[in-house]
Amino acid sequence: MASILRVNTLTDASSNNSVPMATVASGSVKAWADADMTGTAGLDDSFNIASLTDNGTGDFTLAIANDMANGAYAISFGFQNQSSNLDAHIRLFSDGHKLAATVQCQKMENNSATDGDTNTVMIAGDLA
Amino acid sequence: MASQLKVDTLTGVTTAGSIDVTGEGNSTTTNLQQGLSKSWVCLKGSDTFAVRDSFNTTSATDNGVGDYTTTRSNALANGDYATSGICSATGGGNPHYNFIVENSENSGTKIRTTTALRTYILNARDSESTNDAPDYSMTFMGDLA
Repeated sequence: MASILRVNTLTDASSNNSVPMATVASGSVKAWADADMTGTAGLDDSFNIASLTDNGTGDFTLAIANDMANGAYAISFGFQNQSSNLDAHIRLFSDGHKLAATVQCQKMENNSATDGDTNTVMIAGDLA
Repeated sequence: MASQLKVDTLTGVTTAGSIDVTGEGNSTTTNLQQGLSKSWVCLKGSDTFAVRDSFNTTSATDNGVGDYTTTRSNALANGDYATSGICSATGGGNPHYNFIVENSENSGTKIRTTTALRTYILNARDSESTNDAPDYSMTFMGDLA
């Protein structure tokens, strides 16, 4: 049977490692994704991501299933290089593309948009 | 009334590995297990290589300059997990352009395993060079085995 536990603080049985529920809620990552943009783009795995849209080479939009409260959230990226190109990174597509429900990102290598096998995204912040 | 729950392990009732937590907006829920980092590591890459602190990390190996492998104690379910890392600037001619890249160059496939991730610290302005960094950190999100 499903149940709801209303509690302010979690503590281990020895009364150590106490953590307020507010920290559990705010400290948890609210969405993450491992996106493969090579061939037919898709999500290898994800959490709280409704869909991935392939906008073009290296350019993808993630739709967040349960929206964030606003665009003021922390986002971080990981990736693999597809070649020996240096100066590789994933960036927000441009200003205004980090929204409560979607975020548009772009994988760059050597100053050119590039598809990659592993593009990872983490989002931490407040849910709506 | 403030309350405190004393417990060593939390387990879901319907699904053992799934517990919902009400989010900041007081309506939507987020999943506790999916939102928890499954592993993190903070390394000292320069001078004497060392693990500064870590969680669910059994070892870290210095394979060479800017070339590190970290290994999870409890494995992820598969290679489809998210990573995010950052490093401090040091070494090379343009140290402020250091970045971390996962080892899989030219492969087009994942080389990472459920436990091990090998990465390089590269310098975007110093052709093909790798750099050690005083501070290297990596976080892992995904499903535990």
